[in-house]
Amino acid sequence: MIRMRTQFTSCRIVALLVIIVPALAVAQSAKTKAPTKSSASKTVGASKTGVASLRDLTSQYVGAGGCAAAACHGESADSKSRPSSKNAYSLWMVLRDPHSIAYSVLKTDASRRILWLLDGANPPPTEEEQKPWRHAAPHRDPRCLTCHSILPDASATVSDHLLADGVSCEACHGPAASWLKPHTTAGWLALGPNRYQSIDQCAAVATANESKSGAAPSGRMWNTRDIQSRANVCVRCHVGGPDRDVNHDLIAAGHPRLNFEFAAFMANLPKHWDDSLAREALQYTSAQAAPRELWPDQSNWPPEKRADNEIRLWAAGQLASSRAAAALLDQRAGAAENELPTGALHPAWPELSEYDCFACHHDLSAPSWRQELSYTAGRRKPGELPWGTWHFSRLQEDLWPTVLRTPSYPTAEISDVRGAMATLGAKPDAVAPRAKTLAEALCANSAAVTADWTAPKISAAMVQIADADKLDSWDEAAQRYLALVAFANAYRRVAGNQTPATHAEMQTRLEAIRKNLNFGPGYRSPAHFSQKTVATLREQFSDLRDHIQARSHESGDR
Amino acid sequence: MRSIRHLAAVLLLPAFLSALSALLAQPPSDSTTTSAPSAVDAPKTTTRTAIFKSHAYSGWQNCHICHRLGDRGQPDDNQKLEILVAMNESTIWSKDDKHALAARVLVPDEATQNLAFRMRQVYGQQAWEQVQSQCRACHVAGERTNDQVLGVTCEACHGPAKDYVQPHWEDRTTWRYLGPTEKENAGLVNLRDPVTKTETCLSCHLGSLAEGKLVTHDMYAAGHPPLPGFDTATFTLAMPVHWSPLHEKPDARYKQIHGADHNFAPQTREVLLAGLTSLACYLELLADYSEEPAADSPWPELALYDCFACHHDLQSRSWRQARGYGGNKPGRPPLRSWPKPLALLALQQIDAPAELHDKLAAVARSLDEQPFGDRKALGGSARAAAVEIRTAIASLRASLAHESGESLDAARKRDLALVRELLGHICELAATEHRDYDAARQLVWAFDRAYEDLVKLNREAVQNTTIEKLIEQLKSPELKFDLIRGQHQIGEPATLAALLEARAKYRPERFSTTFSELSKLLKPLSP
Repeated sequence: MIRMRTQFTSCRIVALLVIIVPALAVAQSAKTKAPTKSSASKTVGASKTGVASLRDLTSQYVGAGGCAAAACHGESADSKSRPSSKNAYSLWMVLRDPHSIAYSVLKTDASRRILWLLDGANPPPTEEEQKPWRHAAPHRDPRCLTCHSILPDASATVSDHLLADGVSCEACHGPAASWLKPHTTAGWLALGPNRYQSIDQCAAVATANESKSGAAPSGRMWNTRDIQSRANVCVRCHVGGPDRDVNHDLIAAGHPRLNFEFAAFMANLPKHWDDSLAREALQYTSAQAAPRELWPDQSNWPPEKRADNEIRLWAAGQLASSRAAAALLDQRAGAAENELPTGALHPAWPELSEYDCFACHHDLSAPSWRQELSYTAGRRKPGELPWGTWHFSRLQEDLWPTVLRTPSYPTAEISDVRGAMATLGAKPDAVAPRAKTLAEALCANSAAVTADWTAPKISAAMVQIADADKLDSWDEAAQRYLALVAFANAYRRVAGNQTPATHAEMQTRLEAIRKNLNFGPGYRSPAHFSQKTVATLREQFSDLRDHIQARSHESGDR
Repeated sequence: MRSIRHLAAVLLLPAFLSALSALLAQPPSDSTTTSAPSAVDAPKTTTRTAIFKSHAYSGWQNCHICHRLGDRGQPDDNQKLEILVAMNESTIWSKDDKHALAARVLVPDEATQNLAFRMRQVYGQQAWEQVQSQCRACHVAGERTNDQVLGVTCEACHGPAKDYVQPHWEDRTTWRYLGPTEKENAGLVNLRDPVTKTETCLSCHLGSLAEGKLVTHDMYAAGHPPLPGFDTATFTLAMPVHWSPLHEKPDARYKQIHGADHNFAPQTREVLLAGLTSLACYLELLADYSEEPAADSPWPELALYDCFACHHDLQSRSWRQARGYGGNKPGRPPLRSWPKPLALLALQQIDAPAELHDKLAAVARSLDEQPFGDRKALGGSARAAAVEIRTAIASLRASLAHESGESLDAARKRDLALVRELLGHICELAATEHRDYDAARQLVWAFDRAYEDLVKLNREAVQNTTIEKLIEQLKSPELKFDLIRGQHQIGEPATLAALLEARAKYRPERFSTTFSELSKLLKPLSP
């Protein structure tokens, strides 16, 4: 973390601190060197159930080595090299993309201990054996590998040598065996958008989560240019889905919570692709903001070239996350509904990670700001549980109609789920259908972002975001902060006439908020949150709002 | 008037005698049957509960009219001989005892912004009114009329007095020499028995569904302070004493009937019996709750579990993760941690059967299978374990009882061995595993109580400043293990804030280390 802190000095840094990428959390202790495998024939799969039933998908993959040839994507590069398709793989390694160590991190003590704890801490520590977890093998466990490598699902298996590169090229760009050859030919580019396969979790929603990726090689790359499709790829792991579930058991064993916010993640990800246009966009004036378009659907992509890029990222991320979160809840409740053979370990239900972590996880204090803020306003009854505070924030509801072209925010469906989830006695058979309905409603929403992001429109949205009265939890405050950063960046691009001083004023304010949201050394929760911190945050939000309104007024936005 | 007072005093006296010194050299007349218990079908209700069900209240005024002597009204020695109690019990209670304020703290006061005021704000007026009957179940125990704000009065602990208020002063000579069982039949709770006393205290301090008492998670969330772990001996010591110890009573026959002699380790005995009783009460509460109709009792009721398993800030170097989850699944909230350590110590005394430990393990397992446990599975396993524990309580009682005809010297020796053994066991248990705040506090309390017995038994042998220094470390004021005395309320914001802060800052490593050092120092003292 500390290394990352010095590396990124923008106020986006909080994203790193708050949005915990599994790999990031242990990045420091992990070696980036990919381990070499002596026996490539060994395969990994569900160790306890019949290995014979696993589908061996090795042939669908070429492995990072297949992309990394010097003449392909492995042209030598250092951290200052300008990204291009030629050096994409080298940069991915050189810039220490967290995904590149996702597998090797599984071999650390920290990861081994997580799995050991998860599986009942057997054998227990003794005088002689201080580290009984060293025999745990998360790097061979499909529960871990489905997100820490390219293993597509828990019922599949791939050869060991494909795992070592972590979440490597094919984890996000799709299994490459079926398109490796064509994509080196001249005809490939000519295919235009057709060379891509869009990733859409709504298909999975429609088929009741049956869809397993990697089942049918399409002969096309996964679409990571379209930001919605890209977000949909990310949330497969960063929110969860079939065979990818960071539930409360796993978090309690030591795995970081998943707090995904797409715009912040994209800002922090070391770029192994050419985003120079995005950087140039900072120089655009609003008149110049409309870029040259390569593809027919101008409103949607390529995102890097649009001045309102960050707003699009934010919206795509919110949509992808909430769809995935609703589908995941459906999946979790569905699993809990099933009758299990006696003695079998039940799936975790009630699933505690569905709720605001810090609603429960805080040292008790007196007087308690939570009692005063969360309960007196009448939104919740004392002791009632706040569901979906991250993926279904109040901010999302506030902003949805402004940002998305089809502004039908599923308020009713969400409050239906929220009602059903409000107590830990939530019945899975009541929750599952409601979660499914919600996922469907979210999928019915168009992913298209509204156009015409002029400076006044962005300012108006920022005023909505910086609503001090709505700060009732750390989750809500953090979501609003992250949105403010995204919109502030978009504003800077759109309102090209902004002076450095004006920009700095905004940055200073955002930075002050970030400091209050930061967990602080030694903690994974806002331990310092107190009546005073919340009051300060509210003042800061109000001040920011006043600042935006004054700025709009001065620049004649109205 | 004065003679009435005397009469009343004589008759009510057993009610005000302490259990402190009173672990029975000769158990109550029915003790022979309890030491050979029938294992099955443990009653769902305790003796205490049965008493409250079958007798009516008389009212605090009827006690107060006699037991209200002030400081200047101390009876002289002759009167003491006749009445056995000081007659100032009600005065002490109303002047110094928190229980007297229990009802008053329910009244919201805007001027002081007291806890009730803040809780009402959180609840909203309507919900606050609805929850009042639940509050009153504990806070107004003993007086169920709406116009009274008397709090936890005499009868809340000593039993509804309608059927004994008359005989205990009208026919005082007969009453005085009745055994505890006969008095219980009239409605007087035998608080001299540590098991009954513990059940009495825990009916509020833990909760008792048979008596309609439970602080729910909703109530905590609205601001009720967390109920602390309970050790009967320690809590008794923290009370303003309104009784005198049995062995100081100036009536030999009375003392003989109530078993005054031979107990050289009263606190140790109380720690052991109360420890096991606490676990039984807790398991019975779980079982009772799980058997309630689902409509009135949502599942899971978070208040039944360990508050601080969830309520803690998340640390990157978490001692909970470092400690592990005892082989249980992480992320699945466990039972409260405080009742177990002292119960384990008590079970060591009687070589509890493996069966019992299996039953306890089954309770933990049902919490493992599903977060918070399946209602039926958890309730069933808790009931089965509670039955075993009740049997174990009877065995423990028998093992702690003095043999008839035992010489004072022999009893003294035996008690010395008992105390030393317990101290050793406490150190062992504390040194083997990292305990959380509540469990550590129980162990420190127990150690403190037993060590006091040891000092009384054998002052020269234990004089050791290093031991005392270590004990001081364990009781370090910043940990706030000491109970709040007098009429100070833990609900007072500054007090509660300090208590909660101490808990938040607690780290377990130091405890294990201190206890293993203590263990080394105590070893040479063992016979």
